[in-house]
Amino acid sequence: MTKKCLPVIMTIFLLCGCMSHRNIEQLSLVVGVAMDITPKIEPKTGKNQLVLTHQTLTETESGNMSSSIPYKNITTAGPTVHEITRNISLKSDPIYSQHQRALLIGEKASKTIPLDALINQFVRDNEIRRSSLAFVTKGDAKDVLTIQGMSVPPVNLIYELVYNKFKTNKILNPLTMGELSAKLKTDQSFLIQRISKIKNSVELDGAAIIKDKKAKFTLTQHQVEALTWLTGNIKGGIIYGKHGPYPFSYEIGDVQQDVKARIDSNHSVHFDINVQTSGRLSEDWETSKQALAASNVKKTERKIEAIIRKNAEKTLRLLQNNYKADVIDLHDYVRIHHPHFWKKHQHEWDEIFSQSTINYHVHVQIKDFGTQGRD
Amino acid sequence: MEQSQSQSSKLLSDFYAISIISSTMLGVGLLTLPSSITNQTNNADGWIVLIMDGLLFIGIVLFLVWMVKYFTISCMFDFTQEVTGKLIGNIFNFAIVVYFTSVASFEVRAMAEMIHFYLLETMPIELIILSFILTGVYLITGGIDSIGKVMALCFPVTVIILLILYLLSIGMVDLKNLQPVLADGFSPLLAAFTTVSVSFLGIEIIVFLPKHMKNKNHLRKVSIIGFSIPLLLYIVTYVLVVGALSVPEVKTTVWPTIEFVQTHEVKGIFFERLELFLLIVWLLQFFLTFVMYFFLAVSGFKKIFKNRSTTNIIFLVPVLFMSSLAPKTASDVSNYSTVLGWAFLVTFLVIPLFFSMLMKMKKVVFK
Repeated sequence: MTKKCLPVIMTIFLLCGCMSHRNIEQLSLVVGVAMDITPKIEPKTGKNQLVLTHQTLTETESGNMSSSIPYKNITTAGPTVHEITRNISLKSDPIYSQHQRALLIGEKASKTIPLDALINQFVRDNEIRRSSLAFVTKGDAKDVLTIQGMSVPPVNLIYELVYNKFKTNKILNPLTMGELSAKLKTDQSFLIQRISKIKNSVELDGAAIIKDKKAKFTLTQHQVEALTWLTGNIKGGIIYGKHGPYPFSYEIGDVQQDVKARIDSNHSVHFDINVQTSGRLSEDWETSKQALAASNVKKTERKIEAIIRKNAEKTLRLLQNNYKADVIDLHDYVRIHHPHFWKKHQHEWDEIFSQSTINYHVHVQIKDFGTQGRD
Repeated sequence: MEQSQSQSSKLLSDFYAISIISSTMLGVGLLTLPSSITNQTNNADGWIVLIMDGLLFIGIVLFLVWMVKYFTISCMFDFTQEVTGKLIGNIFNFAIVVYFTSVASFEVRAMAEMIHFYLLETMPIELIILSFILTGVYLITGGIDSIGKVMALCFPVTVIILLILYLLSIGMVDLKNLQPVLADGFSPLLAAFTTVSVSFLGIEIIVFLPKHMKNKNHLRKVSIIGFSIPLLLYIVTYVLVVGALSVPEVKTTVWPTIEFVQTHEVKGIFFERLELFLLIVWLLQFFLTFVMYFFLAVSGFKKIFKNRSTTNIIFLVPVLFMSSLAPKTASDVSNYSTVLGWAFLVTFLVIPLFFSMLMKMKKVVFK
């Protein structure tokens, strides 16, 4: 009896297969999503219509790699994010977001709709990973994804670019969807990396300041660079300047930052930011022997300090006076070292930040000169 | 004599007993604990509550172990009958069995919710529940011996995989999210005290376990180790998860630990998606917790009705199935767990204390 039953039981296991399977050819594998809005008002929600552009990977025909484009963009308009993603099923294979790498929010959308509303569905959804990155774009996000003539999907290029942080300090730390969602839960301002379309390609182009959950202002690449000297969040980069008639480059090595927050009896806040950096004089157009003399090196160090301080203080004034947005996370030091003050004033922090006094000190040490050392 | 010989071979060695205690404690708690504690404290001091509450529970465990030894309790089900007689004892036993059944069905439901959300979206939840209950039945028919073996096999694997996942994700942690320490004083800690206690659900089995242990004298060692491993995992989990996700984010997340592991991505390795491993091992832990409670419920009924295990299993399967489907929404499930938290404290503390006091009085009066 048992012998007869066994094959039958085994066939049950072999035949039942996978209940929730989906064929991979019939899925639109989403790598990135662009979010824009139309000027038209949707009557039901009373808001502008959303336009989502999903960048999906398609199979390449073998042997014909160069001519075929390995990706496809699907643009759909609708009132809410989830409604749109479901409507895609009307015209193509249902989208599959497990491999989504980036979310690009268009300039107009990020200025009119609070970001926490825009990303709400992405954060709630179980499919989309918290590790996918968030960006804002200059102009419509759709234009960035639909750049013609690129050999790789634009999303993949963007995804690679953000990891170049150790080469230049004009890039911010990648902001994941999870971190974005966490930051939007507080009242504090923060930065999102901005991307713009250049001819036939994309470029990481400064940052957008998110204040009151909307993209209010933008910073240029140069301002972002100066700003990293305020946060101390630098992995690498170059400072160039001139000593006398000779241009030079200083390659940033190690950067250490120390911030002291002090609160007066009259509730004014003071910060002392101390930055210590050491690095390499990697290029110097003064090739004479005394260029490497100790006194000369000291002079160059002071010169670099002056350059850093000037730029940092300029950006700081901009943040304090014009934008009134603490995007350099000074509030962390108040939150940690003055919790009671923070509890009372966290909702009006940007205002307090704009009125606080901030002293900035930087100390540069040139450690070496590349392969051409001292004689 | 022959009877006892075959009996003793089926008793649990120390390692098995430790695995049973730890596996029973590790269940839904580890996946949801960071958010449930943070919702109470409103700051990142949850780890302090965990340590304080953990130490308190170690104290209670030591006391219970001493009591078990003092009154030579082999199983709470027997002890209640011994103290108050068959009828009243059985009424208490019945209440305990109801509690065990509820915990078992809760674990099944929580597990099914997780599977439904992360793994099998289109599969009907009833089917998930039923397949787990039936798998549980298969394991229970083997008795405590088989359950212990499965736990001893799975538990070390779970701990190792969990620690590897944590080690890989440690880069996401920002200590700034855990500061400032004790900024709001101690009052939020008290608010979280009962919430934390719920995470220790499972430790009550130490008053049911001695019967099945080979070395009953080792109960103290076994209980402390069995309790400390999950406690340490809880503390580590809390620190890592809150450190990585930050307080405001953790508060709103349903499965913070899974989200934490998900935030990290290993680049260039075939296994980019690490949370898969967490889901796999945690599925096992859910299952083992469920099986242990199921087993205790069955053995409780066996004591009350003096019938065969099989009858009780057949009776309990539909009961478990129905009661695990009873909560309609996700918030019902979490309310369910709050009620169970109180029932846990009653079974773990009130009942053993109450009966021990009665026993003591009895001894004094009859002497």
